[in-house]
Amino acid sequence: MTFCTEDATPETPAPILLDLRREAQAQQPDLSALPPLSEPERQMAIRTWRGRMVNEHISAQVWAGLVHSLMRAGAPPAALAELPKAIADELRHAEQCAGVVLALGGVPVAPLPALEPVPLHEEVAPIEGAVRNVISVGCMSETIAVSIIRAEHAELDDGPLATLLGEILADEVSHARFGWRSLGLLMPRLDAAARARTSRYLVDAFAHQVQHEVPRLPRGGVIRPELGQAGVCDGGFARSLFVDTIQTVIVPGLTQAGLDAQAAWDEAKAETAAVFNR
Amino acid sequence: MSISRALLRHKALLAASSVVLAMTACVGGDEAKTDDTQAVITDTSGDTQDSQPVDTDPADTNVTDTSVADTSAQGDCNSVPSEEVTECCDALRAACEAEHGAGTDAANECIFGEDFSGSTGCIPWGPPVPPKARRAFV
Repeated sequence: MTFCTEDATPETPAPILLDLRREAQAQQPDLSALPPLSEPERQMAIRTWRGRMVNEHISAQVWAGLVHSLMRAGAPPAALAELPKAIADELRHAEQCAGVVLALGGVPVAPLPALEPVPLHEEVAPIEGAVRNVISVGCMSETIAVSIIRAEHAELDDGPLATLLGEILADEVSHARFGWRSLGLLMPRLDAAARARTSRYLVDAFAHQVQHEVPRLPRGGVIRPELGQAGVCDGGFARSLFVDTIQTVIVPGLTQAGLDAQAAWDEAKAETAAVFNR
Repeated sequence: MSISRALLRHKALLAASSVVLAMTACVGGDEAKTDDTQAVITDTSGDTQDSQPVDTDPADTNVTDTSVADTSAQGDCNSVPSEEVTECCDALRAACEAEHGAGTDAANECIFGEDFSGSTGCIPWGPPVPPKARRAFV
């Protein structure tokens, strides 16, 4: 990775660019067997994989933030030791996605979005704050990722992209399991009041998932199967899977953990109805 | 690979439900069960090539597996699209492409709406930063 900045006026600071051209060279899959794509389709595939490249890269700092959150909550070394692997996984995924961008004829360079720190939730005890972060990252985001990537993987013919997606999926399964396992360890240490507050936090966490994911999922779009083989997915189906995964997997899981997840999801859905209707 | 939406949904939700078991084993207090890395992986959906982690005993999950239920009656884009919705979407795409040209930005906006990002409809994979709590707590 090289560190680059774009030209900027003195008033506007130059954005930092994520430049994975060098890493992509070593990760480039052979996509010669892909079905032919029109030029706009190829560009769409490049944008998709470039977006994944950026998202995977910056998610490494989310896992890094969990180190602090979980350490101050007294998490055992065995749990903390899983976090560096997750960080490395996300950075490697970014490089793999960059390789696909390059293989598709794109340039794996993109502006780096603003990075927000992982909240410590200092208004509550460290364990309760850690539970919030574990739920958001592992039990929600990563569990949804498992579902979505599993579906994408199942749709691909055998080939380099299927292999790549299979590797990424295995890592995401590991990350999601870390979240649920950590929740199982931490929940017994919360008293009734903390559990009630955590149930209320679920409304924010669910709403955040909707606001983060659903606007990226256009309704009613249908993509050609050939484009699907390049790793581009159908937004309408992904949206349905997003909702189904929350309703049939995450809500029951959180309920089993002792949280009032169904009420929280219902409230979050009502709060974000405008996002769904866009 | 031709695979139905119902089967895709089934595989996806089964994979997601398998990760929740990590918590179940932990809450059970049996240390030997907390290591789920040795779990036997079997997909019950009939795809023998599947090597993704899926629990061998669906009855052990806390997840109601409704993944193969027919949801077509819901008729909106938040559920698995029914044939009618799919046909409608196909018709929309055909009309937009006829008017603007296949694969053009204008056609994409016509199909996906003005918020179309030029990307996809693909959920980003990496987790975002967790939100701060916004509401008053008890």
